[in-house]
Amino acid sequence: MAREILGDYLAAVGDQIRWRRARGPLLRELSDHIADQAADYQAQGLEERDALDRAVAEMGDPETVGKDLDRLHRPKNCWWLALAALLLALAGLLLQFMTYQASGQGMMDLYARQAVWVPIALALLCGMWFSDCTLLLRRWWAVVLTIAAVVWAVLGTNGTWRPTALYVALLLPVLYAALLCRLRGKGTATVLLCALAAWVLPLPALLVPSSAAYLLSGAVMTLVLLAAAGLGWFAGKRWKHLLLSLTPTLLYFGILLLLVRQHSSLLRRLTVFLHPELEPNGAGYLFLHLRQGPDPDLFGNVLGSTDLMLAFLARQAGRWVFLLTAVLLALAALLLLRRVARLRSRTGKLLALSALLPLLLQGVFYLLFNLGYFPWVPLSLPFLSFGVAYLLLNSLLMGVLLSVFRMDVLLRDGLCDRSHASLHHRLELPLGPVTLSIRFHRPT
Amino acid sequence: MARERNLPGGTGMLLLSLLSQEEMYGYQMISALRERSNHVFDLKAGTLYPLLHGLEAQGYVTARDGEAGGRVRRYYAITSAGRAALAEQAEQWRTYADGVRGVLEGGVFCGA
Repeated sequence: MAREILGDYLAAVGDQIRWRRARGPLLRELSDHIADQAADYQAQGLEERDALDRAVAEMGDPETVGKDLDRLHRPKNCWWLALAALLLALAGLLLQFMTYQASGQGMMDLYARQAVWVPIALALLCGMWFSDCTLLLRRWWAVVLTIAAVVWAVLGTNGTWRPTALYVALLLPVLYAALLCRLRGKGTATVLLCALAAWVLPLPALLVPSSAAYLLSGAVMTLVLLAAAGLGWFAGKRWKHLLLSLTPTLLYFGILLLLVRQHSSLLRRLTVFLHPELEPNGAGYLFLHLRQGPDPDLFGNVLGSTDLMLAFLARQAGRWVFLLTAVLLALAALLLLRRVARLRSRTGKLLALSALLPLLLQGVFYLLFNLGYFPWVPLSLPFLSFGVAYLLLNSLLMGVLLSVFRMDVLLRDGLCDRSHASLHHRLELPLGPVTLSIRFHRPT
Repeated sequence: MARERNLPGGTGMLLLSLLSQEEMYGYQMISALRERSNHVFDLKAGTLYPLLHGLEAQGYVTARDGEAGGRVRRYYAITSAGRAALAEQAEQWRTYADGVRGVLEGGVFCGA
């Protein structure tokens, strides 16, 4: 009977909370409080039933409490970002059509396929946006998914699914961040292992081979780890963890430099990238022509390439295209990083960074490649360049970012399995040795 | 309402003051407030949580889930912005309280 009173009280509070995902965490906090209060009353000599009864009466008017909590817990949708993604996807279609027209026959079917996938990608983005991003934090899903993704990437490199490793490399940082969220308060050994994992997990991308995918994935994971160390996520001195986070990266690039010096083919590639004029008609041809600016001969050959869309546009409209892209990228980075910094929880910050940085870095790599200053073929220019798989993956990343922004008020650091955000009209709350089942009347 | 709670001497200031000493969970805060105020402040839980979540939205406190004695609890801790707000409100409160005390106890008239 007393438990029914408690259930009725919580249901009455929950009825006032319009955002269903907020009900679980909020009511759980209230029920924990009631349990504490009831335990105190029992210690003072009251019977269990009377203690619970009195504890509920102490809570205050459920309608007022519910309304107050509702006012403070509304989803924070970042509409301008979703609109920007939509506009970019549409602008991408237009740019791709221009490229198709300029390059002639044989592209229309591919363009049509891309056009069909744009709404599907946007639907995927919306699906992620309105989903519960804390799902990744529960139990050890992040570990299971990371292992599955890496195995899938390795297996894929042997067959017709070679690009799988590239796609996995793009998504790995999100899983990595979810994994970090479960390692709060761990010590230096964990930091070192995580720092090593950042460069080991994306290794399958090198089997494709794609150095750009490997660099992007490794760099993003290292940056997320640095952010975690800087935010005091681990137990111990921050500076020590920051240093440990960077150690494998420094070692890795040190070894890479040694390899370059010992292997003549690698050294030649690096030399040609730094001095393309040494091989103007060979390996340095593309770098040289891209750095020199619009060149009709070059673009006659590579006009249809989705990797050189900015260079193509620059040839049509002028080099200000590069400047505009750089300014837009810097502006997006500034606005979004500021938004991430304002998130309440460190968990939210890490998840948001892991989704945002791959999008930004792809843009930077693409821009540098089009200017002739990036040695490897880039992955994509998010939402703008051609490619269905990248469009879907970037939509997924954008969806994760929007979901983290939306759920900011509900994200908490700490016990990940507790971050449940049920959408059901029924809620199960643990109360001592039993479970309290609450049914809401107000379908929202 | 929320603004009233953040006024010098308001409940918000009292909660920030409690949290400036150690991180606490909701029930612990109510008990500590009651004890330290000699039962003058007997806050209802229904008032406490919206107030705490409001302080969290303002960036004055952060929350984390932690385990203590086999039970999961939500702990609140004051932020540097919260400490700054507390210092400012405490100063305003002292000025206000000194003024009231001066009037009640018959202050010294200066400048005659």
